[in-house]
Amino acid sequence: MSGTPAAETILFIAAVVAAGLIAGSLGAVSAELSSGMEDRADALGAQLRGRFDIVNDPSTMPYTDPVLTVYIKNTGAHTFYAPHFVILIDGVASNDLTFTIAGASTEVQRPGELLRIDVGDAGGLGGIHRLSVIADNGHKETMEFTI
Amino acid sequence: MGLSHAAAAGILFTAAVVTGFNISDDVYNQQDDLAEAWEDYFQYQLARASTDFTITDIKPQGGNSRVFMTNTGALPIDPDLLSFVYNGGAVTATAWVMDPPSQPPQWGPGRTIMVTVGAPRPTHAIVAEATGHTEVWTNP
Repeated sequence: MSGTPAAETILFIAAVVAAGLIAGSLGAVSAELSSGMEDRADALGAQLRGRFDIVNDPSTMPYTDPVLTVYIKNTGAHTFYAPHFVILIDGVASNDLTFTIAGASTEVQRPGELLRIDVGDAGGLGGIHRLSVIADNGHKETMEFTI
Repeated sequence: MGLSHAAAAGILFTAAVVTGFNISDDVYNQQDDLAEAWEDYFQYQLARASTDFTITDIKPQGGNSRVFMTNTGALPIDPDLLSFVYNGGAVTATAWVMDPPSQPPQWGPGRTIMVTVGAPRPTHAIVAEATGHTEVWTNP
């Protein structure tokens, strides 16, 4: 019986350590779950609040080979980060985009602002084409235009 | 043995309570944020559906032009958030006044506004307002 207190101490420590480990992993899982929920909610909020329209005149697109100018009006309540816009012309993504608002170079487009995007690698356009603009929140606008 | 069980149970119970509280708090906060986002979305849809205007005329004014527009919708429109595209290119509005001038200077339903644009009268114009409603004008 002289070993009983030692055994109980060992059991006590083991039980506390095991419970601590379980509690720790429960905490880690709940933190991950919370973070996931927050990310999902942020993404959904951005999707609901972020809208834009292409306000170009499809019959009179500003085009000086190889630069095509696209006008994007922020019609939502979300601020867009301009370099995250993806521009597709006939399904091909552009890699040469310049952003300006009211003549000043910018990367941020606030609600109500008109963003000018100069697509610098749109050489050789003629006839009817399809322009798609996709924002970082997944919002997409498409228009057909004639050069 | 009893003490070990009690300590382990205590730790687990505390962890479960803290975790439950954290999760329910997060769920509540996210639900609140999403409800706000949905409210914004519905307000926007309502505003977009209720917003309308017509371009009655664009008159030359020296090297500039004056755009006359009537609010034919059910909501006031913010003239500072109008965008103008003349003959395919964006141009800048320099000033606006109610026509006839009146107080408060708010472009409400049924009222006409005159916007001075720093470009000559175009043959074709597009005007877009903040909710994305656009109007097209062609020089007759």
